[in-house]
Amino acid sequence: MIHNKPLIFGALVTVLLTILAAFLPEHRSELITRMLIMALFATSINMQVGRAGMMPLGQAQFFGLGAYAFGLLCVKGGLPLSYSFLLALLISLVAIAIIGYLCLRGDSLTFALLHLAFNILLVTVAAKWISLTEGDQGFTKVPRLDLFPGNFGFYLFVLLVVLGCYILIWMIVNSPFGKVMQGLRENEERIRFLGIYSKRFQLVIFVFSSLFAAVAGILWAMMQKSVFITYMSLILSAEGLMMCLIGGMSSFFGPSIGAAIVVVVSTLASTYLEQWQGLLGLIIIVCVLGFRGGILGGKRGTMGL
Amino acid sequence: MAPAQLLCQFIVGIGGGMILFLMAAGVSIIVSGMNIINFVQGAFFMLGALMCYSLSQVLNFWWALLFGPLAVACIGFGAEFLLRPLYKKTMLYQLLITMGLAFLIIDGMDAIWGREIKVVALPNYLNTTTPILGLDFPMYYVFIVAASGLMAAGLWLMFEKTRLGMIFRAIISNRSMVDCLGINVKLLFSIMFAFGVWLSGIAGVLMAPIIGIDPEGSMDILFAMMTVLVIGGLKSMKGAFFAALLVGVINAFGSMFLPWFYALIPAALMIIVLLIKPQGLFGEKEG
Amino acid sequence: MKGTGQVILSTVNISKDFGSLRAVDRVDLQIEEGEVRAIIGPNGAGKSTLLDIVTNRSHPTSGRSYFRGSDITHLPSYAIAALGVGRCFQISKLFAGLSVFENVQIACISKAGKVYDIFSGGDRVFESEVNGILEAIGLKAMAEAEAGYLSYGDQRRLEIGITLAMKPSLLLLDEPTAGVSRAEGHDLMRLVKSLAVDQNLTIVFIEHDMDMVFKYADKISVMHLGRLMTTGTPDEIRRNAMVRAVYLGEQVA
Repeated sequence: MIHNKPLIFGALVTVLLTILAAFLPEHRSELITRMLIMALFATSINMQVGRAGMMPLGQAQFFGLGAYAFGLLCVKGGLPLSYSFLLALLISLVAIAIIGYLCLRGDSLTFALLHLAFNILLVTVAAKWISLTEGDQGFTKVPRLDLFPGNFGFYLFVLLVVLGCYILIWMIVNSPFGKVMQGLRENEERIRFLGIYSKRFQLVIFVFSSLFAAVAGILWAMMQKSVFITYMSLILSAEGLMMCLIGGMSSFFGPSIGAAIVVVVSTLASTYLEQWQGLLGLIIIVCVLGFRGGILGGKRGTMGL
Repeated sequence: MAPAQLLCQFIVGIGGGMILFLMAAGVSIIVSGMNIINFVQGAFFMLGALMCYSLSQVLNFWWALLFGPLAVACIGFGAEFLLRPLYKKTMLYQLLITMGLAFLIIDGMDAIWGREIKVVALPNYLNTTTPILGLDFPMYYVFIVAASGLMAAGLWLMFEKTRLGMIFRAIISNRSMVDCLGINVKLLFSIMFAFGVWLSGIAGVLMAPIIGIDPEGSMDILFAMMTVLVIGGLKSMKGAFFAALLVGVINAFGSMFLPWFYALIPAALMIIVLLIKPQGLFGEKEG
Repeated sequence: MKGTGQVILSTVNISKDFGSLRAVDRVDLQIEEGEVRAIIGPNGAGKSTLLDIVTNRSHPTSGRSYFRGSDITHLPSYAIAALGVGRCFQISKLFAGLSVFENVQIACISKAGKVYDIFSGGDRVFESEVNGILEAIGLKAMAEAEAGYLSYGDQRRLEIGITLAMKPSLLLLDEPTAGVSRAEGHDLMRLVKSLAVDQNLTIVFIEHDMDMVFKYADKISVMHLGRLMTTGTPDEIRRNAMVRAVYLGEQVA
């Protein structure tokens, strides 16, 4: 049954990762946490790209927005952690709704360009509003939610949040809403001629997808215990898209696998090879030219994943 | 503020704008003619700058200006072969693969030239100031304005008056018709691409003496180009020209009057244009 | 099935200009509920443009259109569809990468108002409704086939199925039998007509094949150079000299 395979796969991977995180030395186990957070980021992008045929060229802006909102509320606002988390999401939600509404005013190319433009705008604001964001320098002393103690404890916390988000995304993508999403990707005009207000529908998808990116950003800020401008960078947006491409956009776990690969390449390669970004570029080129749809590619995703 | 200073800053703005135009023109040709979104142009710009750096150490600046862009164009010609399968793919794939190529080139530049920021020395007679209206004005900016102006005029001439330009325009209009006319479109695509890259290379060489050459900055340059193109219209050369000058002048005056705020203006303009006239200020509505 | 006398769709003085070209010229059209109306005319007569205007795929330069008495002239396409106007296109608009089953399923989801339902399982939702429709259009065996790989005729059937899943009261068909064999064309039209009777549909179809027109239409409207020339029963149209001139180039006395 199609539904069981991904669940089993997910469960196995979770167990494997947890074992690795528990027993690897610290700087390696942090790698696993990074992979999880980036997997969430990539999967959030794929909600729009793989499923709905939308092209969010600047998703890092919401990743960074979540991180900045959380970090600023904690560090400068002095609010307790859980409040900061929720309030950060709320602030992100408002920004997401406004940006989403504006981005959807035109056709799909305009959407992509506006998304990019807002990314540029937000990065510039973050860079220039030094009194608020410390600009290029960024700020540190961002606390972690100490649900469980220690690094392994933090890993467990991230795992819980990411799994929770994955379950939500899975539900959304496998519901009637998810079916209509696929229809949207295939033929937007037909969706409209079936009586569906496509712009409103796209806005809802946009909000879900960007919120999950913001959650990932908050987790990242906690992990790094700091917030920097690079969290919003256009390069990160591009990397997110690359993760989806490498792993395969037609499957649920494709982007996660792509994220794992990119994180491993960038972390490990950067210790041995100065030029890891070039390696990433090479992988992208090979994937696009070689595999038809990324590693888990093909029309419906191999192995039903 | 003395009018002389304003004029000076205006010329600086025009100069910067002209360079933006040369870069944007390259992308515009490739987008209009080949219908691919090309994110690798920033890397080629930097490559041009680095070529200028290397060549000007061995030969003098003028030879660098001549050969640098040609070298970059050759690489572009070769890269086009890699990009051939892209023509049928969606915009997302094109974007990502050209970005992947850009990453590759950027790291290649890192590896070959190293990461420290480079500076190019100008020949002495360009590295002077001339007094205009009582203010000492850097000669090089005048040179840039003149050189890019010449290039822009040359571009216009080529497109409007020569046979090659006519074929380019035809391809931009309707590629399959040109195919039917028995013209080797594949070869022309490669030439078109190389030409677009050549323009970026020239922009890179011209800018080399006044910027710190840093491969990591390639993508920032690209996004500046994208801003100009969106404001002017992705497929409009005229639009790119005026939008580039506009952005150049805004940047020049902005950095003088509103240092905090001016950086936001290009992005904000991009958003406003996309919301009000998505095909760009000079673009034409498609269909 | 003849009209019930109630007007379901009407256009008043609709015109559409493309620059200096007048594609639709002051068309007043009235369609009665339950009718089967054919719109015929030479190429370029403005037939498809008229349908586009009624469904707001294109904005009229002037004039208004009404559905069941309400002004739909500036209502967005999706709202018009939701009111009960179904449209099949000259080039089928399907979800090419999805299966036949999923294509109809999405229509059922929309009809049931479950578009924003993120909680139910999606794979087999509305299975019985979908299967019912697939049986009615004769595509049950192809349920899992990818829509984009269907034969042209089957794609037409699928589009009809999708549109009918929305239980429209008015069905607009743009050249439904173009590109398929004569026999298949008759099959399609018989299918449409029988489903129309079952569901009390009004049908407006654009057609070039005169056999189909005379066989299945209750009334025929003739368009030429953007103008609505005349409307009448098949017999009246057959005998109309002006129509013959337009189509056959005969001299009008």
